Amino acid sequence: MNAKRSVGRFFMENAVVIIFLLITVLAVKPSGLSLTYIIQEMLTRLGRNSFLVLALLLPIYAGMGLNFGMTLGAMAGQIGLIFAINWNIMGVPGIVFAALIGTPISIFMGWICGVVLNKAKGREMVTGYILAYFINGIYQFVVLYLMGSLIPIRSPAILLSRGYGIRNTLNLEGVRQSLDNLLMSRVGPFSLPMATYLVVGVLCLFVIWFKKTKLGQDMRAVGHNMAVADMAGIPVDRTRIIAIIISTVLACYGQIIFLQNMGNVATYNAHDQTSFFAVAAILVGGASVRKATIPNVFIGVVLLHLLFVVSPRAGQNLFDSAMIGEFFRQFIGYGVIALSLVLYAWRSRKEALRAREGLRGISLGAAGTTDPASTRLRGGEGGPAT
Amino acid sequence: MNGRATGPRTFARRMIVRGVLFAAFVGFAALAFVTGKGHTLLIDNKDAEDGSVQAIDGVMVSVDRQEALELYSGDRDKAVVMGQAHTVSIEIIAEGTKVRKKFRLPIGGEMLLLSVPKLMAGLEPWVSPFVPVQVVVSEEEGAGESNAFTSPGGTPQTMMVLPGDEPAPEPPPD
Repeated sequence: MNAKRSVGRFFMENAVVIIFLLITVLAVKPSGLSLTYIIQEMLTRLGRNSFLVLALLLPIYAGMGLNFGMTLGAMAGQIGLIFAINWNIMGVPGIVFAALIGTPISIFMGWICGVVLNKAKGREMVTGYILAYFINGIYQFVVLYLMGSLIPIRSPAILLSRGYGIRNTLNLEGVRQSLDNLLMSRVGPFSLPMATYLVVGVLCLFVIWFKKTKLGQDMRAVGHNMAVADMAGIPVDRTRIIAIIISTVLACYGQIIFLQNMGNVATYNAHDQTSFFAVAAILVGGASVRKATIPNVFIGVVLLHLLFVVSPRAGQNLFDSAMIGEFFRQFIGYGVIALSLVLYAWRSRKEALRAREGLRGISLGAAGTTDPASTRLRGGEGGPAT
Repeated sequence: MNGRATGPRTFARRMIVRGVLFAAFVGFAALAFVTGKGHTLLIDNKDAEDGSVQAIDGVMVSVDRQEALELYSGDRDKAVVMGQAHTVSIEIIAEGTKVRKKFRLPIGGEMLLLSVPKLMAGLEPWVSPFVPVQVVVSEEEGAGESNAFTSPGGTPQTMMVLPGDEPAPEPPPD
């Protein structure tokens, strides 16, 4: 009976990963793609996307849920790249330059995001999502109207023909795959962008190290229970703002790494789906709103992108329409987020109920009364972000 | 409790740290700018305008470690380079003569012209800024941008139609 319950519990805890894995494995065969091609795609996409997904970890540790506000960092990264192209700075120095330009912008954006999210405790995810739309409006204004008029842009290649505003699509030829090709090594039929992996590896080490620092411990304490952390003397609001700032800066760098791999940037909508796909990836990897680890990131990137690679071809082969596969891809992306959030809410409610029952049993046993204060504390401020 | 230590010494230390960080930031940005600045180098194998040097018929030119360009008399090709210090290697195909020269490009120069005949003849400067010829579109040539051709007395077309400026809908036929 116990074994049956533990198997059931395992399936419930890993429902998203299991469902996703099943769908993906079923789609591999009909796609007709060779294993070599699929593995090469995964290796490339691991380098391209992992940094962005890793940027989500710190806000989760701080109990702020999935940082949909990372879009702000992506915008900062794009602004950095626009300036790098404008001044014709190429190669790895071009990427470094874009990152340096993007850093202060993303710090500022992260600070704004953190302050706003502190005003919306418990509703961080939806607030971050809407905030990204708001800042997107400002970004569009800056890039479409101020660049070329108020902000000097010297390269006519990136300006709209009217003399101000940046073109819809920018060619990143100067920095295209410069990080990937810096230390490209071949293992059998596969090309491995070692420099990109190295950068991602350094970020993983940073996350591991950061968790052990005083600030990292504070973040975990805040994430566990804000009220208790506050009583322990931890500056809760400041810690939360720092978590969001670091996440936004990392998202800025992640977007630069992503775009240098792609080789071009859709100026006005490249950042739109950044947070969406990063969140989908980490959830597919088995993370939840309150718990995420580094392996979740890599499992998620591989699984999500495996589906992205195989589903359009599978759709084309099975239904004679590539659009079905594309639809399937979108459907799965949103579906995973929805399923994960629903499962998380359901589990949280169940755990709260179990805790309340247990507490009631103890209280009744001890004094014959329920202790409403301790019940409030358990389900209080440390509750899930929505 | 805000978790931050105060006091003049802490303040001074904090300011020093911020100053160092800012200086490092500016330094890195400047370094990235200087080392990553891209230049378009036009490799020119044409007669000099003043007739001082003649084009060479058949040379292989390579800049830094890029693929060698094969140029004949009157040819011009381009190489995109990064940074300021470069090396050009020239080989005259017929004679087999090889010349290797180091040169620096000005940081502000976007497009520069490297004259192979001048370099081979030892005439300075063999690298000079290149200014593309500006084509001035006359009013008559630009007439296509207005609707004056199809509509006598018409107004120039704008890129965007602003709200309120939409053309009035035609009245429905009776």
